[in-house]
Amino acid sequence: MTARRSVKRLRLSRRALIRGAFGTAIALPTLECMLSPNGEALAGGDPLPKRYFLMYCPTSLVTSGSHEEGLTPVNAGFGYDIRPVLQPFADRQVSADISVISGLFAAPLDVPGGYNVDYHGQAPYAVMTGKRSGFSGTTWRPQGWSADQIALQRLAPTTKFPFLYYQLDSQTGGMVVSYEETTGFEDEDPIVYRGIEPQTSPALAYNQLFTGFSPPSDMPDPQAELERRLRLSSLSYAKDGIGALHARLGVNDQRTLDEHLERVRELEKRIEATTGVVSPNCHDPMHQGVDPPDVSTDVPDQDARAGLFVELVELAFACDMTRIITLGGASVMTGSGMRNPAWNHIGGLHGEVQHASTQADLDAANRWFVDVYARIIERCKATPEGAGNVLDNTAALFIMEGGKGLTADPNRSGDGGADPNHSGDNAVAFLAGRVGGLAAGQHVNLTGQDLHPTTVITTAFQALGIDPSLGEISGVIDQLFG
Amino acid sequence: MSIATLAGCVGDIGGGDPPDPPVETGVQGETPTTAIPRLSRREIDRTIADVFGIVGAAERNLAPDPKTAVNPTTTAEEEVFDTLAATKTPSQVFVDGLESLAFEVARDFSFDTAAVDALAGCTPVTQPFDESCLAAFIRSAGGRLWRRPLSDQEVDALITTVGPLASDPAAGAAGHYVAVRGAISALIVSPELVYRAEIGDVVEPGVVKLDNHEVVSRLAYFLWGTTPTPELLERAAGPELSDEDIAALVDQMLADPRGVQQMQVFHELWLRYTSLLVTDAALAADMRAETDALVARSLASGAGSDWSQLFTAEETYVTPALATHYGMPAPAQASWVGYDETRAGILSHGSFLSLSQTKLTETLPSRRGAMVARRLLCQAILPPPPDVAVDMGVTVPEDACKSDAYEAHASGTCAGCHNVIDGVGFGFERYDGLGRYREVEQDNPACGIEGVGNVGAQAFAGPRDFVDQNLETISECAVEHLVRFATRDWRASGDRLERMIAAFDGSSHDFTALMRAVATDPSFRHRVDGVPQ
Repeated sequence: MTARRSVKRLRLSRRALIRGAFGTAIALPTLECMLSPNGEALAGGDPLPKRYFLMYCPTSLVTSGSHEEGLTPVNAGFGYDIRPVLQPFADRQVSADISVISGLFAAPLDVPGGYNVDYHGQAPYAVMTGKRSGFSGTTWRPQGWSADQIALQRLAPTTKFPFLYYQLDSQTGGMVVSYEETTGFEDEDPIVYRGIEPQTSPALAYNQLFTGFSPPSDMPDPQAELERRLRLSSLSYAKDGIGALHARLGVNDQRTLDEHLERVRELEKRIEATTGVVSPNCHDPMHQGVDPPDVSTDVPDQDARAGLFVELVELAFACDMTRIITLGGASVMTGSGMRNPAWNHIGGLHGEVQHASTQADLDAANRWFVDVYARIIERCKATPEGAGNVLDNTAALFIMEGGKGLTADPNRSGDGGADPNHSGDNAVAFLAGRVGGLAAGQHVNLTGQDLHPTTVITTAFQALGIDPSLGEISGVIDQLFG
Repeated sequence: MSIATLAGCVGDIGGGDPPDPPVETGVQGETPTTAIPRLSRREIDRTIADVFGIVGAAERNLAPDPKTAVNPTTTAEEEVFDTLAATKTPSQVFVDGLESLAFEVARDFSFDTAAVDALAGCTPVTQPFDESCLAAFIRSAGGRLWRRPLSDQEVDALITTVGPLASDPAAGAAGHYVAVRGAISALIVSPELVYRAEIGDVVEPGVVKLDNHEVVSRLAYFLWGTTPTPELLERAAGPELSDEDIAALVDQMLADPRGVQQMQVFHELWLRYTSLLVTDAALAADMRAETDALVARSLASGAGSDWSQLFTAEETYVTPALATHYGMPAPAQASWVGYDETRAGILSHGSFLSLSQTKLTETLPSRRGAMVARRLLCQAILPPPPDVAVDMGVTVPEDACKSDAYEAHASGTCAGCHNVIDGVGFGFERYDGLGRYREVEQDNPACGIEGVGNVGAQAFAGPRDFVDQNLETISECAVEHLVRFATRDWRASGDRLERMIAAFDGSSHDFTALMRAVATDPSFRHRVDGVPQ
């Protein structure tokens, strides 16, 4: 049984909504009735929200032993051919909403956005920050803000959650794709960049979004208000406790508590805020509060987990809880890597599927990730907003760890030089949505132009109306606009 | 303590220099540690379960602790214990999860008013809440959660914070228990629960001596993995604990079933045999039972006990199906069955032999060798040069023999590491990824498997031979891992390690004696302080 608390289509004044929410200062909710007559803007004239979404796929196009792959379309232009890995685009009828950009190049060279030889250890940082990685003596660390954090700074939304960062796989401890600036400890540089811990539990992600959630109503909910007071009281006491403990510690431990306090304040702000509502699809999905059980030891039920994350991404956008979401694939890039019932007969995604199996096996794994992305595009497209849908106001990216090599120039190869799996050359990315005039549904082949994968991200920035630069990479792929 | 440093990729993470003369604190030469080590998810779970009887709350609300982390000193990615302080940053995910946990536990426990009253030792008699009874609850629950008595100021402040909730219109007649709910939530989200403060008193420059409550907390989390009992807290509230007092407490705690359980937890985290990469669920369960039985037997304390049998046991606990799988005579029912002359102890178990990142049942000798070198020989496998792509593995051409391909691969820049880790891995090569014995290669039966490997210059063939030659190193390595588990640090100092090794040897490898040695060593009551305020 799924109880569904749908947003009522009420004709309410904005003031009435604010009054109804316990008389405290809250973020401004937005119902359909608050839209302009043509549904293209808010009644007050503000534009509809613009959203950034990025899914990171922790694979490259080819295995260690192959130069052929089943993803990149052969034909350029609109109405591209659907290769086997892209079949979910056709199945979910979203190929006209997604552009495929191929022939991208992240260089293993000391150039803007380049990385220093170590493909797994450096290349993801270079792509996600737009900054060269591994040349300053610091290895396996990002050198700048990640794309989502830059989007956050430039879009500066006032939503309940500044951003969300989820990860499909439950394993943690490896690399992540979202980074923030922080103060270094005593033995570090004054400013360092650290990975942001992703939420890997769909149940906790659900709790985070929907604990205390109640759709706007003209009837106050006393129980919800009591719980809100209770949570805020607890955090207030915790803040005092942090202050008392802080005074007794050395500077490094004080820094840890400073960070803890900052997170408590962030949580406090969220509890104080209410949810803005844009789409009539906004509702509490009433998850059961537990993660899907593993199918066997250390083999998560990845389909079920992904399904829950897909729904939460859709609803976080539909309820305007956030406008920036990153969905990582897996953080463990060494060892055997992510396990999935779909490829567990082979082994882990990294060691076995990518490096020790067939191209058909990697294509199948990549198709799984492409399907997750296609499901999100499908859901956003089916979520009404204004006169259109959420996808119309979203730039939705799909970035892969690597490409397929294929060049005769050894300087363009990845680390070691012999493994096409370890190459940032001939990479592919997707960009979906029509925000800012994006002309979705085309295959843009950039082979030979040496355009960095980050350029697809900066193009998304342009579509969102923010400065199209990230780290050392700037510029726009003009073909992606109509 | 560890074997001679080998060329190439291997670093020595053992003790190094001979020990300095013992001094009172026992922490000379050690590196500074945090004064606020954070509890692991497992420890928070058990703490909540012990205080409120709610099981699995942390598992439901907090992300698992990382299983691996990059050691900043060696830059190598290492398997780590869930207690390692360095992996615990206060991320938004953690703080959100902690608040979610607090919300759940406070809600569920406060609904059971009888349990609330029992923990407080009183029943509310005034409306909207009974201040003295609320204070009693806060002192009782808070003392267990924070592992120390709360000050009057802390109690008063909490009553001031949550008392008004009792008058909320939605609270109705249950005002007192709504205030209790607020108090539980506040006590859990407070830093005093998750950060086990070890501030103590400075006894010499840079060295802090823990106070009674901090010592008892350390003991409880090391020996039991959970918060101290009320009796232990009461003892901590008394006069300063002497060495003899602490020794008596340790003996008492190790005699408790929680002590044995914690020793099993350590072995699970060290040897990782609970994360079997075996897709056949029934087979995996049999393998787990086999290893559990051996671990339990090797941890038994008292006369005749010998932890070494974890590696040297000449019989194993198998079901008929598992015996058949191994090619051993099948017993009528699950029981101990004698090994042949090549197998011995846990290194012959499918649970261990399947952990080496195998592709289906085929072994990857380099990974298996690296695993054995790290876990059992305490060698730090340093990261390869950046231009070496280790995860490509070794390609075995069709019709070629695997051993030849690996030998050819171990040259040039690859030689340093592969000569070390392949040598260890090939010594176990006659056992496939599910622990079955074989004498020819799986992918090319025309190729025989010699099954001989080496640790340094010393050749060995199979698990029993490996253990015969390296048992001393293995036992020393176990000590090192236990000290890391206890201190929540990356490394243990050479001095402390030497003392623990001597104690372990002196007890003829009684693991309970080792736990006692760690917990009663002067170093366990001290901490090297970091950067001062």
